[in-house]
Amino acid sequence: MSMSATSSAPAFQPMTVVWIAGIVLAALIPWFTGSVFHFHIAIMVCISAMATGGLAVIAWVGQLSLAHAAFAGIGAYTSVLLVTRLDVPVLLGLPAGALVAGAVAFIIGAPLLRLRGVYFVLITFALNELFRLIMLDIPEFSGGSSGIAGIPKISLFGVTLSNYQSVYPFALFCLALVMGLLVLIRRGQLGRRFAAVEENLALAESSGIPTAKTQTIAFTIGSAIAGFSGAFLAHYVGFISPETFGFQLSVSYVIMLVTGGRLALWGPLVGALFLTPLPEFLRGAVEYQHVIYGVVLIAVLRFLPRGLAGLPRQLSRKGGRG
Amino acid sequence: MRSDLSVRNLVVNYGPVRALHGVSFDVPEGQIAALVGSNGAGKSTVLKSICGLLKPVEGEIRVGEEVMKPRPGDPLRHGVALSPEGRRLFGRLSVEENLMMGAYTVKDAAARDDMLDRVYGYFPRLKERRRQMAGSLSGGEQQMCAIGRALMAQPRVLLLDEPSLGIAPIIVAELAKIIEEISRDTSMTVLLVEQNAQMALSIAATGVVLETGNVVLTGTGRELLASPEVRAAYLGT
Repeated sequence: MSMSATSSAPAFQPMTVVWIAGIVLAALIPWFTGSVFHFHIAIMVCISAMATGGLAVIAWVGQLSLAHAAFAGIGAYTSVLLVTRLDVPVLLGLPAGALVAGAVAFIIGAPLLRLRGVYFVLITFALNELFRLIMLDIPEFSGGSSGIAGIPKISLFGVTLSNYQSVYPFALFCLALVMGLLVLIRRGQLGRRFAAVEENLALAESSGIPTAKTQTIAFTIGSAIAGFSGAFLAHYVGFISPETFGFQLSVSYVIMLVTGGRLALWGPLVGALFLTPLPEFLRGAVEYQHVIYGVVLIAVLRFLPRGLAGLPRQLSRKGGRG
Repeated sequence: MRSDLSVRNLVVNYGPVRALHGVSFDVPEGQIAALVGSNGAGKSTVLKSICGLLKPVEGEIRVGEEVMKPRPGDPLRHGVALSPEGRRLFGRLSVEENLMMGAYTVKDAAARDDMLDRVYGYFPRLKERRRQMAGSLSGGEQQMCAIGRALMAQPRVLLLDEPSLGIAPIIVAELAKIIEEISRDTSMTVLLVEQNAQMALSIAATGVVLETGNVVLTGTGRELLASPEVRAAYLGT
């Protein structure tokens, strides 16, 4: 049984405890420093981590969606239009955004997911552009290129979360919900189905797993999470335009996922935690964000094929050898 | 004797090349049949046709009374499970997860757990390594896992594609014993496709020898093992 140690996954390995402690500490930083800037970055980390978590679910069946920003956009516009035009409370607008994004993914998923690999990447890239162009074309709903400003803030049961310090706990709560959902999926029968489809589609099909349906489920759940994160972003920032949800945002999510670890459960969280603050803290470097992301991506692909989440294991293996 | 799996006049082409020229044979219910032949004889083509992965030009495949449609998944629904050549497993899933994937079509959870216990009974080593990643098993253990996964579907017909390929002789002997045991206990029908004619024929009730897409000999396993043609062509004696 000596070989089994590396692959068995009991509920609490020492490594898991270290991870959880590290993430909890990182989450507490804004309260230690009290800086509004830190609260803002922490909230953005939560939003990115939610979106990247959705992308991870899609990656678990072996697909890479470059339309993830468009689904965030669908969620954002759904919630904003419901809240501003129909006076729906924001607390209902957020799940409605997830629902509509998920529904759209479900409908277009069946024909789209027949494609795999680079073809799926290309078609989703085209879809993201299509979303942006359509939204620019219907200014009566989208606000056109000038976007929609003055979006109502998130309010919980009549209490408006008007400042950063009050939004942050709610962002953490939402992120915990999303990560909880990811853990549930991953540990359950559905997660095994996803992994089987990701690893060997033909073998999964011949085991009687409905592979097309399995991929559609993943795409729907992942895109719904994107929709939720987009709606959250809209109500937090207070402004959206079709350009907010352009192709570059999709690419950012992909880079966060790959940097964190494409198939690791905590990959999306680690990736967002690392890459969201990075350009913000390199003062005056915000405009070079995509250059920084590109360099990080190349470094990760070269040195950390399992992503940052796989770093401790890689280190311990090196240590064991040396 | 009733036959559980029956291949009738199977003709299969790969493009312009004819791979099978009208292959027919029966696998009697509850027995082990061996399909032997050298490289390129058409063994895998027969298996792929049985699994619905190839569309035959002519002929049909029956499981019990049912005629199979040439569609992947249809034979599985009628109780045909394949343990594929080359021990294809989900390498990053654990041994137990691989086994449970085999039982995907079995909806009754109690029956699934019962079958898992039985598979662990046949292959105690899989139980020891149940949480280990399947990709990290030895070749023989991976083969056990592949056979176990096929068993998990609780098939009436079990197809084994080259279980002895690339495995140490001592493990091959162990596998042969277990295959015999499974067939005896569960009265499952087994079609064993092998290049290792010695091993396959020694445990098979029926043997079928395939050569360049034709059935050239049939008989009981013992008859074939004793036949001069088989000895000369496949056993090197």
